[in-house]
Amino acid sequence: MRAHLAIPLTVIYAALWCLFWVDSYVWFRFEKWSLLVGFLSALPVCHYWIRRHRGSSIITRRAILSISYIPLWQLIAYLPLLNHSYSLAETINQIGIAVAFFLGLIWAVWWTDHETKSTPESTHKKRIWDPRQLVAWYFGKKNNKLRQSLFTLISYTFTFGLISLVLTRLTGCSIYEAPLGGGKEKQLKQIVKIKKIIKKKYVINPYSSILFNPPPIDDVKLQVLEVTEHLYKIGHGKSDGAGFSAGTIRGKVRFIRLKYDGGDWQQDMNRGADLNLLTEYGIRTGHPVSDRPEPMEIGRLKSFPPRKSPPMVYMTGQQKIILSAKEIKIMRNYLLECHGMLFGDNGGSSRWEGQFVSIMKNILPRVEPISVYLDHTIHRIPYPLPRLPIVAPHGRSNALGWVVDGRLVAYYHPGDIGDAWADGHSGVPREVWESSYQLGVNIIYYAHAEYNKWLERTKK
Amino acid sequence: MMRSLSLFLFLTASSMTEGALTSLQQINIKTFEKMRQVERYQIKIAEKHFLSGKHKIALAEYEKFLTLYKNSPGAPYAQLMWSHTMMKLKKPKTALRDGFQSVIDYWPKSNEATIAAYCMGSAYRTMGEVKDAQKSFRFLITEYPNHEIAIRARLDLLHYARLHQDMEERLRLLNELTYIVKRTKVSQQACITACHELAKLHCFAQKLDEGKKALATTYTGAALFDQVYNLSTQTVHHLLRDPKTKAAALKLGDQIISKLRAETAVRPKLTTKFLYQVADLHNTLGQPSETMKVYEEIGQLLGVNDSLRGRIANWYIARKKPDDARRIYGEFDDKATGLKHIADMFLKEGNITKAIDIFRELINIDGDNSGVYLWSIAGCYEKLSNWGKAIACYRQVDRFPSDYFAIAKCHRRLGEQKDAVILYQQIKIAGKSAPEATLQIGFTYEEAKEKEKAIRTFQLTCKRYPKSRQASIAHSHLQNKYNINVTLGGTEEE
Repeated sequence: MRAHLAIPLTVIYAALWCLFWVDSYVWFRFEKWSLLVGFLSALPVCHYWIRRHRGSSIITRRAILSISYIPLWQLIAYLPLLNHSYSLAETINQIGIAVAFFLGLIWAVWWTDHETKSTPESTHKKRIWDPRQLVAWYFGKKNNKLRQSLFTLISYTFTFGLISLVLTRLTGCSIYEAPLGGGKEKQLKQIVKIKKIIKKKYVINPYSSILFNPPPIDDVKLQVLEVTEHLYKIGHGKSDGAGFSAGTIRGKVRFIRLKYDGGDWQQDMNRGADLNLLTEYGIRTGHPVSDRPEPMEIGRLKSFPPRKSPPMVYMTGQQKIILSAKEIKIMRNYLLECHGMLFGDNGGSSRWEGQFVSIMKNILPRVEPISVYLDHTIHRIPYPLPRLPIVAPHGRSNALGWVVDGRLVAYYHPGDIGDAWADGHSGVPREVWESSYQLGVNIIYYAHAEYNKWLERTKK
Repeated sequence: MMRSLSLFLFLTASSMTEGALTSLQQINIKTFEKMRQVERYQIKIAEKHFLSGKHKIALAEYEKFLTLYKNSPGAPYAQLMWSHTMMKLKKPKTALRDGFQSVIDYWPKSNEATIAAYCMGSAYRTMGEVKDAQKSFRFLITEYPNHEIAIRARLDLLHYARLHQDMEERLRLLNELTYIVKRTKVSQQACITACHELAKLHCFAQKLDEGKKALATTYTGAALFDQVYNLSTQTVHHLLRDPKTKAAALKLGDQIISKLRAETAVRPKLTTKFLYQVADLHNTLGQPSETMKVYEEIGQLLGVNDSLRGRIANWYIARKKPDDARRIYGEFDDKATGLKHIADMFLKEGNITKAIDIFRELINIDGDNSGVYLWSIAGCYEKLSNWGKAIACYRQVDRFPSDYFAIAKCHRRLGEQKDAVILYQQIKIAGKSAPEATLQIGFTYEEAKEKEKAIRTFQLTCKRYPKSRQASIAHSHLQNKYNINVTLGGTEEE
């Protein structure tokens, strides 16, 4: 490659890489394999630059290695996500941040030192503000080298912290679109049709010389034909195919899990709970679904434009739930103004239940929880549930709901339903994990159908 | 007349044997009288299942009644009870659509239709359909203003008014309940509660006369004075919270004190009570020296007793004069109570050794309660990490299984996990404590670094007691610490 082309091409590539990076954390538009290709493509680029500068000065070589660290780190952090190892990815990210901090610090110290040595000492007697000079007034007269180092450390740490804060709080402009289609809110049920086949009757002369083997007159064979009505069009509204009338062709059903402080929000995610449910939902309803679950900070819920926000978000855990006043406000706005729904699943302690209820009291102070009854739409459509499936009873035995204008805005399940969705179903019997999937499908469907109704109702 | 009485006795006796139906679930005695014997029998069978919690069977029995005796005078009641059973089966939507609504549609003039109308509102409330529920309740108040259900409807609306902080609606309903609704046996309690709430609202808004007027609907004479006093003190507390209303609180406090002093002349028998109330008010108003003066006054007037000494001691404690407080406790006529207070004070101050000495002294004085004191001494030794002595004390107390749990805990602290496990195994005999004992065995094995045994015990807790709190803890612990996903059997709650 010609040298003069390499730099602009690398700059263009860097911009593309940033796009992939933003998508993997904020937008969630690209397929996971396209993202992998995007992150992997950094390898040849880094390799090219490292090879090209083999003979350059040691500083240039180290600078290139340091810059190459970022795409390599992101690639390594992305790989576990392909296997749904969210905890591992999180750990790699945290270690990566620490390494990036120290790398940056080394460069900051080197640059300050280099600049101090190369900047000529000022001769005039005015106050010197330049931090590259040891004689700057704020370094004092004694130990000014130490003070300059401290100054470098503090200002670098501050800058790094600020950049990290900006990047981790990135909200972007996400869009949630449901799949286009239609359907009716009706229960799934199997129908068995029994078809009678009556054999022909022969009238035989009993005095005939020909020997007949007459069939018994009442011997009517029944041919049982099981006809399962499996071609249901599950959805809402009038449109072709299964889906939602206010959806779009590119729309997909996604599963968004809320990240929150204080607890283990990622419980069972590594064991494929969310993805399994999403896949099951896709198979059972025929709706296009996303190929991965999406962990999301609560703050990012506000980044969705009006009428394009997720109809449902999921929250689980068993430790503490710490939500700031701002997050509570965002949740309130999401549930009431954006017509969203919160699905809380107690991952393992009665304490979590208390915290969830208390958080809901803060979010919706004027709405009292109700016990979600068994003939509620959420327990009937598309799967009629005769009982509430419970994997592990962590508190109460009934589901709680918060109703606003006849719509469930929050649904709390006390029995660790996520465990049943996970790989291996945590050893629960088939009927329990099957009901758990059915309940999961019902909840996702309910949220999407209600959202669709709202979109249709408020269409301009 | 005799027939009605015997029916009433029959109904009462049968309801007493198997729990009780609420007033909304009881059959009208006149309807029951008109029913044939066979119909009564069918209703009683269904009711029996309903009361014993076999709701699915009860549902079938009520359905049977409706199929067999659809023209019976008891049919609306059977339909109503069918709906109540549906509510019990957590199917309010079905109860509402196919049950309560049917009662109104098919038997609009029956007593059951009126009850069904209320139940519909109640079902809406259960389903969280607030607007529909409010609409139903308001309709009931207009249609049946003097019926029992109108009171219930008002109370439901009042609940929503509180929840939605709708002060206008709240005041309107409270005024209705306090001043307008006729006080009957059914409505009386609701009206009394409402008058208290209304009086409180008025007083907190510094409309004391309005508050007194509300209370006067229920109380007169001395009872009214006591109620006004209670409310006034609550108002003083409320006003003191805000610095802006502090002056008003002080003024009100002074007024109450003078009224209390005046009341001592009217009811001299209750002088002590009123003077104590004066002392408490001075305390609330932040006038401790005045409080002490009142205590001295009581002492001079009526003599010093343990109750007064206790209050004086508390006064010293609040002023951070523990030695004076102990001196007063030492003067108690009831030595044991005084010493107990002193021991508690030492415990709070962290002077455990002195507390133990006092508890030992108490055993000599009050031998009947030696178990309680030994338990306290054991607790003290635990605080001092003197596990051996703590065990010795716990062994002298007969408080199974708490003593075994406590001893096992001490053994675990001493590193004697085997002994602890033996004790927990013994506790397991007591059925109720078995889940906790099993869970603790798991944790004990964990402390003894016997990982496999610990895991097995936690799994056992989940398996044997799947619906217990301990199973939930074991389940979470296995998941968090060992990354083991154990099932709690998986249930489907009806």
